[in-house]
Amino acid sequence: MSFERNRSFSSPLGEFMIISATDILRLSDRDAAEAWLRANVPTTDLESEAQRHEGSEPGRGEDAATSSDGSIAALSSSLVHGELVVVRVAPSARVLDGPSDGGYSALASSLEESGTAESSPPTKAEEDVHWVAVELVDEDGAPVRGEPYLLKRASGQEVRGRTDQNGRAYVRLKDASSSSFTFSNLDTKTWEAE
Amino acid sequence: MPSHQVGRGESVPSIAKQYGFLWEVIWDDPGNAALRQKRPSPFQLVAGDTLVIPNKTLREEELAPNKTHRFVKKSQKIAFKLKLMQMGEARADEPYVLEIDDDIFEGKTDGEGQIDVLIPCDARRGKLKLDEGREEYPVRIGRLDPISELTGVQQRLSNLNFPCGTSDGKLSPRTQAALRRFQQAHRLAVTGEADDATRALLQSLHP
Repeated sequence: MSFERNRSFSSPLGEFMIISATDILRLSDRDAAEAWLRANVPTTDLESEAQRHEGSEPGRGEDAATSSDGSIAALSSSLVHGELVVVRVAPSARVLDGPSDGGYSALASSLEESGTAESSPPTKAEEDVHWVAVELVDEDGAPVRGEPYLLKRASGQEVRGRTDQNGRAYVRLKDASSSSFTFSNLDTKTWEAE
Repeated sequence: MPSHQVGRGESVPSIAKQYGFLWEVIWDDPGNAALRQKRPSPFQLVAGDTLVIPNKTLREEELAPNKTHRFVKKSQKIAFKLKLMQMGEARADEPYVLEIDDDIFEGKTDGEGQIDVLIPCDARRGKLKLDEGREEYPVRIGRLDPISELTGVQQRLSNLNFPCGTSDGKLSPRTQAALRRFQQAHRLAVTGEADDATRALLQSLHP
Protein backbone atom coordinates (compact mmCIF):
# COMPACT_ATOMS: atom_id res chain seq x y z
CA MET A 1 0.00 0.00 0.00
CA SER A 2 1.33 3.43 -0.85
CA PHE A 3 0.20 6.93 0.07
CA GLU A 4 0.43 9.99 -2.06
CA ARG A 5 2.67 12.24 -0.02
CA ASN A 6 2.32 15.95 0.63
CA ARG A 7 -1.33 16.02 -0.30
CA SER A 8 -4.15 16.57 2.17
CA PHE A 9 -6.94 14.04 2.49
CA SER A 10 -10.08 13.71 4.56
CA SER A 11 -10.75 11.19 7.25
CA PRO A 12 -13.46 10.96 9.94
CA LEU A 13 -11.01 12.75 12.29
CA GLY A 14 -10.44 15.70 9.96
CA GLU A 15 -8.06 16.83 7.21
CA PHE A 16 -4.67 15.13 7.23
CA MET A 17 -1.49 15.24 5.25
CA ILE A 18 1.27 12.65 4.96
CA ILE A 19 4.50 14.55 4.55
CA SER A 20 7.76 13.20 3.25
CA ALA A 21 10.39 13.14 6.01
CA THR A 22 12.78 14.86 3.62
CA ASP A 23 10.45 17.86 3.56
CA ILE A 24 10.74 18.41 7.31
CA LEU A 25 13.68 20.59 8.26
CA ARG A 26 15.64 19.13 11.20
CA LEU A 27 16.80 21.82 13.63
CA SER A 28 18.90 20.13 16.29
CA ASP A 29 19.30 22.98 18.80
CA ARG A 30 18.27 26.54 19.56
CA ASP A 31 21.33 28.05 17.92
CA ALA A 32 20.64 26.24 14.66
CA ALA A 33 16.97 27.19 14.80
CA GLU A 34 17.77 30.85 15.52
CA ALA A 35 20.34 31.01 12.73
CA TRP A 36 17.91 29.51 10.24
CA LEU A 37 15.08 31.85 11.27
CA ARG A 38 17.30 34.95 11.05
CA ALA A 39 18.57 33.91 7.62
CA ASN A 40 15.29 32.95 6.06
CA VAL A 41 12.22 34.54 7.65
CA PRO A 42 11.34 38.26 7.43
CA THR A 43 11.17 39.96 10.85
CA THR A 44 7.55 40.94 10.45
CA ASP A 45 6.60 37.36 9.69
CA LEU A 46 8.53 36.18 12.74
CA GLU A 47 6.67 38.55 15.01
CA SER A 48 3.24 37.66 13.73
CA GLU A 49 4.03 33.93 13.79
CA ALA A 50 5.29 34.20 17.36
CA GLN A 51 2.21 36.17 18.36
CA ARG A 52 -0.07 33.58 16.78
CA HIS A 53 1.70 30.65 18.42
CA GLU A 54 2.19 32.21 21.84
CA GLY A 55 -1.20 33.88 21.93
CA SER A 56 -2.76 30.78 23.40
CA GLU A 57 -0.49 31.02 26.42
CA PRO A 58 -1.50 34.04 28.59
CA GLY A 59 1.33 36.33 29.62
CA ARG A 60 3.78 35.23 26.90
CA GLY A 61 2.23 36.48 23.69
CA GLU A 62 2.63 40.19 24.31
CA ASP A 63 6.30 39.90 25.25
CA ALA A 64 7.11 37.70 22.31
CA ALA A 65 5.52 40.08 19.85
CA THR A 66 7.28 43.19 21.09
CA SER A 67 10.73 42.45 19.77
CA SER A 68 12.30 40.55 16.94
CA ASP A 69 14.81 38.89 19.29
CA GLY A 70 12.03 37.76 21.56
CA SER A 71 10.14 36.37 18.59
CA ILE A 72 13.15 34.45 17.37
CA ALA A 73 13.86 33.07 20.82
CA ALA A 74 10.26 31.97 21.31
CA LEU A 75 10.00 30.37 17.86
CA SER A 76 13.40 28.67 18.19
CA SER A 77 12.33 27.14 21.47
CA SER A 78 9.07 25.91 19.97
CA LEU A 79 10.89 24.45 16.96
CA VAL A 80 13.46 22.61 19.06
CA HIS A 81 10.80 21.24 21.42
CA GLY A 82 8.61 20.06 18.52
CA GLU A 83 5.68 22.39 19.17
CA LEU A 84 6.38 23.81 15.72
CA VAL A 85 7.98 22.17 12.72
CA VAL A 86 9.38 23.63 9.53
CA VAL A 87 8.00 21.92 6.45
CA ARG A 88 9.06 22.42 2.87
CA VAL A 89 5.82 23.10 1.04
CA ALA A 90 7.16 24.08 -2.36
CA PRO A 91 10.23 22.03 -3.19
CA SER A 92 10.23 23.18 -6.79
CA ALA A 93 9.84 26.87 -5.97
CA ARG A 94 12.62 29.07 -7.22
CA VAL A 95 13.55 32.42 -5.78
CA LEU A 96 14.30 35.05 -8.35
CA ASP A 97 16.40 38.10 -7.53
CA GLY A 98 16.47 37.35 -3.84
CA PRO A 99 17.85 35.16 -1.05
CA SER A 100 16.66 31.58 -0.93
CA ASP A 101 14.27 30.63 1.83
CA GLY A 102 14.78 26.97 0.94
CA GLY A 103 11.07 26.63 0.37
CA TYR A 104 10.42 25.92 4.05
CA SER A 105 7.58 27.32 6.11
CA ALA A 106 7.03 27.20 9.86
CA LEU A 107 3.75 25.54 10.72
CA ALA A 108 2.19 24.58 14.00
CA SER A 109 2.67 20.87 14.43
CA SER A 110 -0.99 20.46 15.27
CA LEU A 111 -2.61 18.27 12.62
CA GLU A 112 -5.58 20.61 12.58
CA GLU A 113 -3.43 23.23 10.92
CA SER A 114 -1.63 20.93 8.55
CA GLY A 115 -4.11 21.72 5.81
CA THR A 116 -2.29 25.00 5.29
CA ALA A 117 0.82 23.15 4.18
CA GLU A 118 0.13 23.59 0.48
CA SER A 119 2.61 25.04 -1.97
CA SER A 120 0.58 28.21 -2.17
CA PRO A 121 1.66 31.82 -2.26
CA PRO A 122 2.05 33.66 1.02
CA THR A 123 -1.17 34.97 2.50
CA LYS A 124 0.51 38.07 3.95
CA ALA A 125 2.51 39.41 1.04
CA GLU A 126 4.76 42.23 2.18
CA GLU A 127 5.01 45.38 0.09
CA ASP A 128 8.53 44.47 -0.96
CA VAL A 129 7.82 40.76 -1.52
CA HIS A 130 6.28 39.83 -4.83
CA TRP A 131 5.50 36.50 -6.34
CA VAL A 132 3.73 34.74 -9.13
CA ALA A 133 2.11 31.33 -9.01
CA VAL A 134 0.86 28.93 -11.65
CA GLU A 135 -1.43 25.97 -11.36
CA LEU A 136 -1.83 23.36 -14.11
CA VAL A 137 -4.77 20.95 -14.08
CA ASP A 138 -6.21 18.54 -16.61
CA GLU A 139 -9.72 18.78 -18.00
CA ASP A 140 -11.04 16.83 -15.00
CA GLY A 141 -9.43 19.34 -12.62
CA ALA A 142 -6.71 16.91 -11.49
CA PRO A 143 -3.24 18.43 -10.92
CA VAL A 144 -0.65 17.89 -13.65
CA ARG A 145 2.60 17.09 -11.87
CA GLY A 146 6.16 17.44 -13.08
CA GLU A 147 5.39 19.62 -16.10
CA PRO A 148 8.49 21.65 -17.04
CA TYR A 149 8.04 25.42 -17.21
CA LEU A 150 10.13 28.45 -18.13
CA LEU A 151 9.54 31.89 -16.61
CA LYS A 152 11.33 34.89 -18.07
CA ARG A 153 11.73 38.29 -16.42
CA ALA A 154 12.08 41.60 -18.24
CA SER A 155 15.66 41.71 -16.92
CA GLY A 156 16.44 38.64 -19.00
CA GLN A 157 16.64 36.32 -16.00
CA GLU A 158 15.08 32.89 -16.46
CA VAL A 159 13.63 30.45 -13.97
CA ARG A 160 13.15 26.84 -15.01
CA GLY A 161 11.33 24.27 -12.94
CA ARG A 162 8.56 21.70 -12.87
CA THR A 163 5.10 21.83 -11.37
CA ASP A 164 4.98 20.19 -7.96
CA GLN A 165 2.81 17.33 -6.74
CA ASN A 166 -0.20 19.67 -6.66
CA GLY A 167 0.42 20.88 -10.21
CA ARG A 168 1.71 24.21 -8.90
CA ALA A 169 4.75 26.39 -9.34
CA TYR A 170 5.59 29.43 -7.23
CA VAL A 171 8.30 31.99 -7.85
CA ARG A 172 9.25 34.93 -5.63
CA LEU A 173 10.00 38.13 -7.53
CA LYS A 174 12.05 41.17 -6.67
CA ASP A 175 9.63 43.64 -8.21
CA ALA A 176 6.02 43.79 -9.27
CA SER A 177 6.58 43.62 -13.02
CA SER A 178 4.91 40.91 -15.08
CA SER A 179 6.68 37.79 -16.37
CA SER A 180 6.60 35.80 -19.57
CA PHE A 181 5.73 32.16 -18.99
CA THR A 182 5.52 28.94 -20.96
CA PHE A 183 5.26 25.21 -20.38
CA SER A 184 8.42 24.33 -22.23
CA ASN A 185 7.51 20.76 -23.25
CA LEU A 186 3.98 21.50 -24.45
CA ASP A 187 2.89 22.57 -27.89
CA THR A 188 0.70 25.68 -27.91
CA LYS A 189 -2.48 23.73 -28.69
CA THR A 190 -2.24 21.44 -25.68
CA TRP A 191 -2.89 24.01 -22.91
CA GLU A 192 -4.79 27.22 -22.32
CA ALA A 193 -5.73 29.69 -19.61
CA GLU A 194 -8.79 28.63 -17.63
CA MET B 1 12.61 17.31 -38.35
CA PRO B 2 12.92 14.65 -35.65
CA SER B 3 11.17 11.33 -36.02
CA HIS B 4 10.02 8.54 -33.75
CA GLN B 5 10.42 4.83 -34.42
CA VAL B 6 7.13 3.23 -33.35
CA GLY B 7 7.40 0.58 -30.67
CA ARG B 8 5.04 -2.29 -29.87
CA GLY B 9 1.80 -1.03 -28.35
CA GLU B 10 2.31 2.59 -29.37
CA SER B 11 -0.23 4.68 -31.25
CA VAL B 12 -0.14 8.24 -32.58
CA PRO B 13 -2.00 9.55 -29.48
CA SER B 14 0.36 7.83 -27.02
CA ILE B 15 3.43 9.12 -28.89
CA ALA B 16 1.92 12.63 -29.19
CA LYS B 17 1.42 12.81 -25.41
CA GLN B 18 5.04 11.83 -24.89
CA TYR B 19 6.20 14.72 -27.12
CA GLY B 20 3.70 17.31 -25.78
CA PHE B 21 1.41 17.52 -28.81
CA LEU B 22 -2.24 16.94 -29.57
CA TRP B 23 -2.23 13.77 -31.66
CA GLU B 24 -4.01 15.46 -34.57
CA VAL B 25 -1.12 17.93 -34.95
CA ILE B 26 1.38 15.11 -35.46
CA TRP B 27 -0.89 12.92 -37.58
CA ASP B 28 -1.91 15.79 -39.89
CA ASP B 29 1.65 17.02 -40.40
CA PRO B 30 2.65 16.87 -44.09
CA GLY B 31 5.72 14.85 -43.08
CA ASN B 32 3.42 11.96 -42.15
CA ALA B 33 1.46 11.90 -45.45
CA ALA B 34 3.09 8.65 -46.61
CA LEU B 35 2.42 6.96 -43.28
CA ARG B 36 -1.24 8.05 -43.39
CA GLN B 37 -1.52 6.38 -46.81
CA LYS B 38 -0.01 3.18 -45.45
CA ARG B 39 -1.83 3.11 -42.08
CA PRO B 40 -5.37 4.45 -42.32
CA SER B 41 -5.85 4.53 -38.53
CA PRO B 42 -3.63 6.54 -36.15
CA PHE B 43 -4.51 3.94 -33.53
CA GLN B 44 -3.13 1.02 -35.54
CA LEU B 45 0.53 1.56 -36.29
CA VAL B 46 3.04 -1.26 -36.64
CA ALA B 47 6.26 -1.55 -34.64
CA GLY B 48 9.04 -0.17 -36.82
CA ASP B 49 6.90 2.51 -38.52
CA THR B 50 8.46 5.98 -38.52
CA LEU B 51 6.43 8.96 -37.34
CA VAL B 52 7.67 12.48 -38.07
CA ILE B 53 7.52 14.79 -35.02
CA PRO B 54 6.95 18.41 -36.11
CA ASN B 55 8.66 21.35 -34.47
CA LYS B 56 6.85 22.59 -31.39
CA THR B 57 5.21 26.00 -31.21
CA LEU B 58 5.44 27.35 -27.67
CA ARG B 59 2.73 29.53 -26.15
CA GLU B 60 3.91 32.57 -24.21
CA GLU B 61 1.65 33.87 -21.45
CA GLU B 62 2.12 37.24 -19.76
CA LEU B 63 1.71 36.69 -16.02
CA ALA B 64 0.77 39.55 -13.72
CA PRO B 65 2.57 39.42 -10.35
CA ASN B 66 1.05 38.54 -6.97
CA LYS B 67 -1.55 36.33 -8.56
CA THR B 68 -2.12 32.62 -9.16
CA HIS B 69 -2.67 31.81 -12.83
CA ARG B 70 -4.57 28.63 -13.61
CA PHE B 71 -4.11 26.69 -16.83
CA VAL B 72 -5.73 23.59 -18.24
CA LYS B 73 -3.86 20.88 -20.09
CA LYS B 74 -5.99 19.03 -22.60
CA SER B 75 -6.38 15.43 -21.57
CA GLN B 76 -6.65 13.82 -25.03
CA LYS B 77 -8.81 10.94 -23.95
CA ILE B 78 -9.63 8.33 -26.54
CA ALA B 79 -12.68 6.13 -27.02
CA PHE B 80 -12.27 2.53 -25.94
CA LYS B 81 -14.89 0.21 -27.42
CA LEU B 82 -15.41 -3.45 -26.74
CA LYS B 83 -18.18 -5.79 -27.84
CA LEU B 84 -18.92 -8.88 -25.78
CA MET B 85 -20.30 -11.93 -27.54
CA GLN B 86 -21.06 -15.45 -26.34
CA MET B 87 -21.92 -18.27 -28.75
CA GLY B 88 -22.62 -15.68 -31.43
CA GLU B 89 -25.00 -13.71 -29.22
CA ALA B 90 -24.35 -10.27 -27.78
CA ARG B 91 -23.88 -10.21 -24.00
CA ALA B 92 -26.39 -7.40 -23.53
CA ASP B 93 -26.94 -5.63 -20.17
CA GLU B 94 -24.01 -7.54 -18.67
CA PRO B 95 -22.52 -5.88 -15.56
CA TYR B 96 -18.77 -5.28 -15.92
CA VAL B 97 -15.81 -3.77 -14.14
CA LEU B 98 -13.10 -2.44 -16.42
CA GLU B 99 -9.80 -1.42 -14.85
CA ILE B 100 -7.54 0.68 -17.10
CA ASP B 101 -4.38 1.93 -15.41
CA ASP B 102 -5.71 3.89 -12.39
CA ASP B 103 -9.25 4.29 -13.73
CA ILE B 104 -12.06 1.91 -12.82
CA PHE B 105 -15.19 1.87 -14.97
CA GLU B 106 -18.25 0.04 -13.72
CA GLY B 107 -21.42 -0.38 -15.68
CA LYS B 108 -23.50 -2.61 -17.89
CA THR B 109 -22.98 -3.41 -21.57
CA ASP B 110 -25.57 -1.84 -23.86
CA GLY B 111 -28.25 -3.74 -25.80
CA GLU B 112 -25.61 -4.87 -28.32
CA GLY B 113 -23.15 -6.06 -25.69
CA GLN B 114 -20.90 -3.01 -26.11
CA ILE B 115 -18.73 -1.11 -23.67
CA ASP B 116 -17.80 2.43 -24.70
CA VAL B 117 -15.63 4.51 -22.34
CA LEU B 118 -13.06 7.31 -22.58
CA ILE B 119 -9.56 6.40 -21.43
CA PRO B 120 -6.18 8.20 -21.32
CA CYS B 121 -4.51 8.13 -24.73
CA ASP B 122 -1.38 6.50 -23.33
CA ALA B 123 -3.17 3.70 -21.45
CA ARG B 124 -1.50 0.37 -22.15
CA ARG B 125 -3.23 -2.37 -20.27
CA GLY B 126 -6.16 -3.25 -18.08
CA LYS B 127 -8.50 -5.95 -16.86
CA LEU B 128 -12.10 -6.73 -17.67
CA LYS B 129 -14.12 -8.50 -14.99
CA LEU B 130 -17.49 -10.08 -15.70
CA ASP B 131 -19.91 -12.23 -13.75
CA GLU B 132 -18.92 -10.59 -10.44
CA GLY B 133 -15.25 -11.31 -11.02
CA ARG B 134 -15.67 -14.98 -11.93
CA GLU B 135 -14.54 -14.14 -15.48
CA GLU B 136 -11.46 -11.99 -15.88
CA TYR B 137 -9.76 -11.01 -19.14
CA PRO B 138 -6.56 -9.07 -19.67
CA VAL B 139 -6.95 -6.03 -21.92
CA ARG B 140 -4.01 -4.75 -23.96
CA ILE B 141 -4.43 -1.38 -25.59
CA GLY B 142 -2.70 -0.20 -28.75
CA ARG B 143 -1.63 -3.73 -29.70
CA LEU B 144 -4.05 -4.28 -32.57
CA ASP B 145 -2.22 -4.28 -35.90
CA PRO B 146 -3.84 -3.08 -39.15
CA ILE B 147 -5.78 -5.66 -41.15
CA SER B 148 -3.16 -5.31 -43.92
CA GLU B 149 -0.73 -7.23 -41.68
CA LEU B 150 -1.12 -10.98 -41.14
CA THR B 151 -0.67 -10.31 -37.41
CA GLY B 152 -3.74 -8.03 -37.63
CA VAL B 153 -5.69 -10.88 -39.26
CA GLN B 154 -4.58 -13.32 -36.56
CA GLN B 155 -5.44 -10.93 -33.71
CA ARG B 156 -8.94 -10.34 -35.06
CA LEU B 157 -9.58 -14.05 -35.66
CA SER B 158 -8.48 -14.89 -32.12
CA ASN B 159 -10.61 -12.10 -30.60
CA LEU B 160 -13.62 -13.40 -32.58
CA ASN B 161 -13.08 -16.88 -31.13
CA PHE B 162 -11.22 -18.44 -34.05
CA PRO B 163 -7.97 -18.94 -32.15
CA CYS B 164 -4.73 -18.76 -34.13
CA GLY B 165 -2.29 -19.27 -31.27
CA THR B 166 0.45 -16.66 -31.22
CA SER B 167 -0.13 -13.70 -33.54
CA ASP B 168 3.30 -14.05 -35.13
CA GLY B 169 2.55 -13.11 -38.74
CA LYS B 170 3.14 -16.67 -39.96
CA LEU B 171 0.54 -18.61 -41.92
CA SER B 172 0.85 -21.63 -39.65
CA PRO B 173 -1.45 -24.69 -39.89
CA ARG B 174 -3.34 -23.36 -36.87
CA THR B 175 -3.88 -19.95 -38.50
CA GLN B 176 -5.00 -21.64 -41.73
CA ALA B 177 -7.46 -23.78 -39.77
CA ALA B 178 -8.81 -20.66 -38.02
CA LEU B 179 -9.19 -18.92 -41.39
CA ARG B 180 -11.10 -21.92 -42.81
CA ARG B 181 -13.45 -22.02 -39.80
CA PHE B 182 -14.08 -18.28 -40.06
CA GLN B 183 -14.70 -18.49 -43.83
CA GLN B 184 -17.05 -21.43 -43.38
CA ALA B 185 -19.00 -19.72 -40.58
CA HIS B 186 -19.48 -16.61 -42.74
CA ARG B 187 -20.13 -18.40 -46.03
CA LEU B 188 -17.00 -17.16 -47.75
CA ALA B 189 -14.91 -19.21 -50.16
CA VAL B 190 -12.97 -21.60 -47.91
CA THR B 191 -9.37 -21.03 -48.95
CA GLY B 192 -7.49 -21.06 -45.67
CA GLU B 193 -5.82 -17.88 -46.94
CA ALA B 194 -6.07 -14.30 -45.69
CA ASP B 195 -7.64 -13.19 -48.96
CA ASP B 196 -9.22 -9.80 -49.66
CA ALA B 197 -12.81 -10.90 -48.94
CA THR B 198 -11.76 -12.43 -45.61
CA ARG B 199 -9.80 -9.35 -44.58
CA ALA B 200 -12.69 -7.05 -45.53
CA LEU B 201 -15.18 -9.01 -43.44
CA LEU B 202 -12.78 -9.27 -40.51
CA GLN B 203 -12.24 -5.51 -40.65
CA SER B 204 -15.97 -4.78 -40.63
CA LEU B 205 -16.61 -7.16 -37.72
CA HIS B 206 -13.54 -6.04 -35.77
CA PRO B 207 -12.48 -2.50 -36.90
